[in-house]
Amino acid sequence: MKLKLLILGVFLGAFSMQAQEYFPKNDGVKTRNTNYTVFKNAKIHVDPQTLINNGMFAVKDGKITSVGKSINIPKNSIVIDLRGKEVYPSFIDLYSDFGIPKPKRAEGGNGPQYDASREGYYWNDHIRPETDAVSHFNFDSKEAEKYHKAGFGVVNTHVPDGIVRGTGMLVALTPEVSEGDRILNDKSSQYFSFDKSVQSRQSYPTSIMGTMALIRQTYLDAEWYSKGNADNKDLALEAFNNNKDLVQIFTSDNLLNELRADKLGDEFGVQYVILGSGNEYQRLDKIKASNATYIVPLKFPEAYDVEDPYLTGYLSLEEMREWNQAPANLKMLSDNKVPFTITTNSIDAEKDFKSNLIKAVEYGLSKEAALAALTTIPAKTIGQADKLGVIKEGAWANFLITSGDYFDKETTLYENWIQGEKKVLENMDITNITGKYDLKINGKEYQLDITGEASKPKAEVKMENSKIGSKLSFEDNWMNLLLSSPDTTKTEFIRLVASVPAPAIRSQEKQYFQMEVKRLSRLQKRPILKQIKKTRIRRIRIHLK
Amino acid sequence: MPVTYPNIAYGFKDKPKQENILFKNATVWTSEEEGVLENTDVLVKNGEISRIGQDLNAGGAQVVDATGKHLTAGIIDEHSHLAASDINEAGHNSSAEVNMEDVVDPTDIGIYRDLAGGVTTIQLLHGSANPIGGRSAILKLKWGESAEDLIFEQAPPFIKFALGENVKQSNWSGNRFPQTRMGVEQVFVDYFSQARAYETEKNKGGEDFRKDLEMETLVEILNGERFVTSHSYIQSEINMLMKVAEQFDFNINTFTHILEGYKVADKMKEHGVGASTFSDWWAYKYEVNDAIPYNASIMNDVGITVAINSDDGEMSRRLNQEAAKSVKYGGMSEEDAWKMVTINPAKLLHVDDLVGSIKTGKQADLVLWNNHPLSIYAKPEKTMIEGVVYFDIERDEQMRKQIREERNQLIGQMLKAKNNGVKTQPVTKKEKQHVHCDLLEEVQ
Repeated sequence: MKLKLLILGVFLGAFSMQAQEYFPKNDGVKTRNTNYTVFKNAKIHVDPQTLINNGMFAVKDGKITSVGKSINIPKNSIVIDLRGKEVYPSFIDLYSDFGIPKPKRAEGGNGPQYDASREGYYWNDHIRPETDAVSHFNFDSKEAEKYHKAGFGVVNTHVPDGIVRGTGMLVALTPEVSEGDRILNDKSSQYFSFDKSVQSRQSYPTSIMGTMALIRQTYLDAEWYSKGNADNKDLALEAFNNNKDLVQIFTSDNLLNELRADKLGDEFGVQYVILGSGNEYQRLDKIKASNATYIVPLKFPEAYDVEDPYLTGYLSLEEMREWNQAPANLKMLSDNKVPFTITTNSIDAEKDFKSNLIKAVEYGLSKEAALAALTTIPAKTIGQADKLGVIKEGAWANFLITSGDYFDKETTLYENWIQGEKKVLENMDITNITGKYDLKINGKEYQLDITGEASKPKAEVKMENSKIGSKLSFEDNWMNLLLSSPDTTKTEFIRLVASVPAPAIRSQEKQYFQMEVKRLSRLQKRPILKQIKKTRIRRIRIHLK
Repeated sequence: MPVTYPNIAYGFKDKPKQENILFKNATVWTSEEEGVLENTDVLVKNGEISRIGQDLNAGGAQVVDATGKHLTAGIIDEHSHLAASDINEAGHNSSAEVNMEDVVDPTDIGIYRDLAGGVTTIQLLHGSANPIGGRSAILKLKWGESAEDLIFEQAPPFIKFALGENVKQSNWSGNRFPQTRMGVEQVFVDYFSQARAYETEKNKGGEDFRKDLEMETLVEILNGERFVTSHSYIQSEINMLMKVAEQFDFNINTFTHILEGYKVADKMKEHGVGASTFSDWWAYKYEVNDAIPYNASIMNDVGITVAINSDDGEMSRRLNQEAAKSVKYGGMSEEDAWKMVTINPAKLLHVDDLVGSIKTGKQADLVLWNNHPLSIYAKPEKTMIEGVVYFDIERDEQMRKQIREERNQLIGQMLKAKNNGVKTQPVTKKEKQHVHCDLLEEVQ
């Protein structure tokens, strides 16, 4: 019997390796990708505490199939060498309205509206637990790209409207796949807030205490309704009861409200996950006592312009301090063992996320804690531990490939893989051609100095200390260098074109690579490339200093 | 920069601790039968008033020489809107389900200013937007503590009612019931009738009983378990509310504002209601045209428990002077005038067994004044709550110096940041709101 069970287990295992497809195909024959992608020689951050130097991992069907110092490479594998590069799990943001259209504001009427606009729902329009993100969701590839660039692979999104806002969904930011593949959980959580719905003009509640009283009454009524006591149908209370076992997320934008939310939860035996304000450091003892996990924005106040002493007089000490203290918030939460995740909500993910994160690290947040707040803690909070936020067998193949330590300002984020789909952000096979070169063309000697980022190098060319006009472009490892003639009386140009081998050819010895030299004749008032009349191709040597 | 509690100017880096203090040789205003005691010592131990007498032994307590100084109980403000994030729930004409304890803001600088004016306890009231307002928060002004730690736990529950212009919304075009003073009466009758019916249903104890937070609160009022303090101006409405209460067999505890109280003081006495009024603040709207500065004295003479309140964060910090005005208007004795901001409001809030006077065994909520407390020259030197000195005039001087230094340091850092090319934001002028009970929006 035991043996039979074992065999069954093996079969189940085999099935779960690849599920059967059931979508008809009319534009060709069915194809099936059974390839593995194997990454080798990588520095793998399995989770915030575990590091594999020179490790390997394999990906198939969007999942990681194995990871370790050395793994078996299956026959049908594409092998990618990541020597010198680091691999991190992609980040997770638990608070967003990604892919959700802005809720429509109710039209204004005359005077306040006291009754609900809807029928068949709760008596208060601002209680909207039946709202489900998934029926409003449309993948927004432009917005997704911003998340990709910041390193995120999964977000929890919701309709940010109302006091009880309904269910959120967990969605992978996978480019080029169908919605069915992206949705990881269509009902991952239920959201609350202190703000009324914009879709109704119903007056009540007009205050924070009114909001809190309304939420309390909703809990009481939902419980009462669940026992079949109401004569009427209430779709809102039914939804509220259905959502009660989901992760409950309470959004707030100030410290006092965070503590108020927790107090409410305590009264009904609910532990909310709380969207914080970034000011948690101001009342850490109470924050810790709340036992909540916080979703903390990475928003830090800008410095004030205090050049005008008169205006500066209007600046409160509170505002000035906040600028000075807020970047240390995450460090203080971490030191006090308050669990938290990080959200890009309220900042520009593409522009400010990494610089603000590095700032938090400069203010004392450990890199491990920062990584945990972006990977394992949000995964655990949303019930996806071991599936998200780690590079582990069976987890989604959501990972980042970087040029080095993520927390280094100079580090480049090359690729963000989500569900095994590659999103290239920067070409990682780019050869770094920066350096100083001696350039000989037609017996003339130039000094070529290439500086800047590997992907966007800049050139400066000199001949006997006088500067030569130049323009450098470098794309797909093709270098294109345009030089103006050293003889300033002539309007001649020299164009050098070269394919730079990848990976980099730098070594101890002097290296050179081939270039085509094309001499251009007169440049008139027309685009350069059309001006080529005669070209002579010669080989030159560029010596690397 | 270190975090302070609260994290604004005048916040504490280290929260002050409870101290045992012997005030030596003070002029003690007891607010009790003993009256004002000259050259008397008061010993504070473990947050309580331990002994009052002559030549007391310090027994390890810190000795404060109070020669030429006046020691009083902390001032109690029966009507305040300080330390609140919100004042009115104006979405319904009855909001008995809301609780001001939910919206206490412990970071309001008004708390510290009140302490500097000798105030130690306030009743944070709901606003006057609705006939039936919200539940009160009775607070001890423990500057630096969190919202929940400000709440005066032993104080009984209260609720704010309101009458007059604000509730019938005649100052703006409303479409809400009630629109008239007759309608206001019907709101009360209607809700209390509902509450009676609710209670009957509740007592049946059926499985299908629906708990309603608003009705629960109203039932508490009917059963004398929650006290009503009602915003009131006009005599006809004062009479009306007392009659409604009598019809439902309970008492109104306090009329607040009560500017026409002098007209119906005998009826109020008969009903057993107290009064909490302004000294001489009127003429801000039609229904306060009949107010007179003799109001407090007249009601006091009739035998009503009278308190002077502020309804205003600025007036709150000089309530000693407000009380003093009744000495001029109506010839009230100094001791009685002083009682109007100490033991009388304590009685109105049913905490007179704990605070409001200097009596052995009471909580040590004390103020040491540099001068006669009814004088305009009087300033608190120390304000203490339960033996913790939350305001100290010398510490205040040091804090001012530290604040100047910290500002300079931060300005220096910001200028440096700007010179280093960091993006800056312009300074905008923000004016702090002056909060009264007619504020409908969220407190800024």
